[in-house]
Amino acid sequence: MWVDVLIILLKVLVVLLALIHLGALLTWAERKQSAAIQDRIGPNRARIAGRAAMGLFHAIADGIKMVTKEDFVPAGAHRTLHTLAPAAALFPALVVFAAIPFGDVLRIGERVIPLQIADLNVGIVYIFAISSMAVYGTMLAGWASNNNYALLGGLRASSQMISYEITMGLSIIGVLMIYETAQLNVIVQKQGELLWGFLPKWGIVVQPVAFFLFLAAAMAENKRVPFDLPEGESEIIGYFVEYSSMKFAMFFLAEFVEIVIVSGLVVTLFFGGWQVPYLYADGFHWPFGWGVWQLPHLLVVLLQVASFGFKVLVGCWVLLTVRWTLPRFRYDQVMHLGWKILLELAFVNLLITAVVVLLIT
Amino acid sequence: MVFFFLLFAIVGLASAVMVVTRKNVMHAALFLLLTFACVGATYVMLRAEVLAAVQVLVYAGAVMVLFLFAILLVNMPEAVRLRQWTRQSTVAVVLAGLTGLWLIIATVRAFTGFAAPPEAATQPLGTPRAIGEALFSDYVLPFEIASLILLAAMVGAIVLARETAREEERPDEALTDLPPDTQEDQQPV
Repeated sequence: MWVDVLIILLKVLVVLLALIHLGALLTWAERKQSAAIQDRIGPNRARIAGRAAMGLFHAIADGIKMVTKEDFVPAGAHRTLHTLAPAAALFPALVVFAAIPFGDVLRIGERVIPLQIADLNVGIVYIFAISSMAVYGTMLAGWASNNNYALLGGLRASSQMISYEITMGLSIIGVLMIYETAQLNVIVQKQGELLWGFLPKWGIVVQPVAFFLFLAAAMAENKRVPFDLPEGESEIIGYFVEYSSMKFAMFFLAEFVEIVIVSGLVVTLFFGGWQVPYLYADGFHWPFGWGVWQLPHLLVVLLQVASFGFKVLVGCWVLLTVRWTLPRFRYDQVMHLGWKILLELAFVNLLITAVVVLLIT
Repeated sequence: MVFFFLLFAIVGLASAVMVVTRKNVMHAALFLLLTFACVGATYVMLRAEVLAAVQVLVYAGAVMVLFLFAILLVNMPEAVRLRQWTRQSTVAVVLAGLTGLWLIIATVRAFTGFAAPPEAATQPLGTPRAIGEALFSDYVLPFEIASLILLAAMVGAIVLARETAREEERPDEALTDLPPDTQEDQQPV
């Protein structure tokens, strides 16, 4: 009994720590990558024992700076909600990953450990339910700061997030239709099947339009360039203008953790999750009758987890690249894109998928 | 299990009372959010996962967000000073009493002679598949009626919005009708 509890606690701990550390590392990756894109050197000054380690210590320096800064609450602000808002922003980001599988099952002796914190039969609905709560953090931050600019930023943020949530939800329904389940680890398992004997049945292969719709909508939910109107750090003022110290850091961390979440979701739904092409529980089964390559169980599990991690990192890299390559949309363009283009495309994609699924089955 | 049920029930009911009694509409909205969350938690304990997820997704994630969105536009100091009560307590008591009575009767009737279906142990009723099959077989008529009502409400909202937009007849309409990317070029230099 207590071993089971221990295993669950261990899984929660590993996933949480991985998320937070990956989020913190992404701040470093973003600086170095933006520097490379803009032909700069990037951070290289923070040193420990005379070593700069490619600017890695800047993440630590940032943490120390955030913790030691003054925690300021503006006059006339709603004290409770002002304090609660950063937590409301960070909480959904940290909890969503519970339903995402990062590997198949691990067998140790008699014990079978699913490499997923919670195998919910409503997995994907759970993810949407929790991530729809993310908007409260921005709304409350805007409202509780007693600052008109923050309030306007909060309004921009919430209208944008409400608009793109619909497209995000609709784009996934096509995936649900094809894999006939909302359970995320079953979706991943079914992506191990082969089309015409050689092509892995990944989401990107069977639902390419949904992939682009989901990616665009998820990036809008993440509120980063090109959809960073809620914040607009370079000229307009955003909803967390009145935040400092760790409260600001929580908003900041939530944004970077959301990058990992978006990447993890895209990988799980469209790039086969922990699947490695042709790798099954007992080893590689090559297509075209090229034979079977037996592998020990532990190595297979390791390969699967490594595959998931690698795909998530590539996803993060793509998201950072997009953020540093595109200019920001204007507000009417964001609304136009969300309501008049992406939403319609999502409906058309849904209709076509439904017809095709009906014809095939 | 009982502890958690009591926790969610008490918190949910207490915050429901707070929704009615708070003067600040933002506080009332946030307490309503807490009530929704507690109801969702009780659904989870009844093993109705779909209902729980949809409860959070629709009520907490969409309906309340729109409420808050409207509240953000309200002039708060003035709204707090507004009179909170209308003098129609008799009507309210009668309506609430009748609704409560009907709910009690319905609950009691549903649970007398209630027996779990034989497959309930192996096939939980709260899975997406079970709910979907129920919605599209036994309950297809109420389901379709609900969707028609929603469609009517949507059409109504669009008609209302269009009429106010037409009344305003903004002089710069020629500009806003252009596709967004050409608007910049049309500005007077």
